[in-house]
Amino acid sequence: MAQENLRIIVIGGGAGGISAASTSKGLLPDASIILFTEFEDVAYSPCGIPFVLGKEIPNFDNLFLQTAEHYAKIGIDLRLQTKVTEINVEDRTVSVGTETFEWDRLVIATGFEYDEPDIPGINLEGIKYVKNIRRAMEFDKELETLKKAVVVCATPLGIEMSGNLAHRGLETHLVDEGGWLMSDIADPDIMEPVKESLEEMGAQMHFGTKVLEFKGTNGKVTSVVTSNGEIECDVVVIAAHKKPNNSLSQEAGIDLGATGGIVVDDHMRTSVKDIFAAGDCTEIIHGVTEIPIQGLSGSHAYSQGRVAGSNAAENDRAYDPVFIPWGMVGGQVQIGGVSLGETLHKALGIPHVVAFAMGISRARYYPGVTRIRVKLIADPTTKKVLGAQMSGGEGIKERADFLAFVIKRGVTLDELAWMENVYSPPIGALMEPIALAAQAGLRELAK
Amino acid sequence: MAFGHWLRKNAEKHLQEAAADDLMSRYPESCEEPYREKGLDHFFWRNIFVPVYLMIPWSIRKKIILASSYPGGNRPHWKKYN
Repeated sequence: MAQENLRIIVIGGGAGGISAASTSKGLLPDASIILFTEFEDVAYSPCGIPFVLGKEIPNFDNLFLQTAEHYAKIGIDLRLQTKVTEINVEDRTVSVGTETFEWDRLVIATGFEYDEPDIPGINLEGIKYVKNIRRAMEFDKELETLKKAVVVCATPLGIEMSGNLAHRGLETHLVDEGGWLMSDIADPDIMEPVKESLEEMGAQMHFGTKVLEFKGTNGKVTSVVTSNGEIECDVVVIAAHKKPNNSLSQEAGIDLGATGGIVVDDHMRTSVKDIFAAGDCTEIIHGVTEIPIQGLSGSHAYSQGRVAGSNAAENDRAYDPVFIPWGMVGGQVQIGGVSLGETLHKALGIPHVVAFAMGISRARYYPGVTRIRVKLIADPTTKKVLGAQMSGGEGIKERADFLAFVIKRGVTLDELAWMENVYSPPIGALMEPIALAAQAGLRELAK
Repeated sequence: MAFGHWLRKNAEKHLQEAAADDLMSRYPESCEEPYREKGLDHFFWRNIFVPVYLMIPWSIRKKIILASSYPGGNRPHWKKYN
């Protein structure tokens, strides 16, 4: 039986924190739940911000999933703009300035921060990060008068911002040190259509280019100096990699892993009893390699928050290792995948075979048909599918979801090669592109 | 920065660079020449660490990665799918 009048404190109001608080409250209505966030808002989708800035979504109100009043109504004590300054593990308290709050269970969901580049001029006005919805609202107003933007780093956010700023009519430059878009995680052949699409929209790519300095006049950025020349601009968007926001946890002596994320088990328990963690501040086990990884998606943070909140409320719920289905739109192209692609299999040195095919999304003769590239990565001995990457005009997200389940269940190329599939001219081709890729992989292995 | 974190950060960066060079040769039409930092430390990682790492069989390498990820030996419990 659960302890009476359990006191649960949640630090962080993003997807992980808010879902933890809501889940705990749902399971233990009599528990005291306090959620602290240093920000002005909770329960909004930061993933939608680039699309409001690009005028694809009409306004920021659409991004709010719930109101602060809703949480008050269900009995969650929401402390907005309230920064926790210390976690005391021995006293089982958190400090907010000079005030302390006791807890029976603590859920840490402190999320991420951007890896701010150590570049001269980084503090000039006009250098933006995309995360906080209030700052985004201010940025949106500024964009009415801005003409030239530089986006630094071709990460998923960098690609979304480049496409959306170009869509909004700004002269947009995307600068990255790598040789292609998202070169840390995606394969060049898969990203090629995205590059073409962004260029068609007017965005200019600068690959193999390092940012050396931000120059400004009267404290405001006016150009970006790079290893390949200087680019004039009114605004810079830093789309750098995310790192876990864990200074509080580190100071409290909670174990952090090699990724910088909090080490958790499959119940989201940290190294300290009665302290749980969820979301981007944690490191989670990758289902294929069993290696800890950090920096997943909002849907992962949401699910982890539910597990952490459930177990903080004295339930027994486990979270599975992740296989990471992912997807996004770059320009007008959908891209996605599961687990690791060819680049990362090669980087880790995992033996693999590449199974590639080009298919179509509908019947060949049906209007709106688009091409789909499917690349499967498989174990050459067992033929089990280990990863996938895809790009095309439609149907990528559904295939990524399907393949995540396939990989989790240890399905082989043989089973995929002769899979059943929907054939209906408006929505599905006779030959499923995933099956075509699997067949190509089997031919490769038979050589 | 803890040793495990430092090791992982540098290993990841240089292994990804080596993999990117490999993929550039497979898909030259889809790539441009990347920017590469210079210096003795990068020379070590590229020319000594990466080749030695890739010579070790994956099954042993994985054990080393996991051991360096949990130097205290306190590996948390997670379900296995392999």
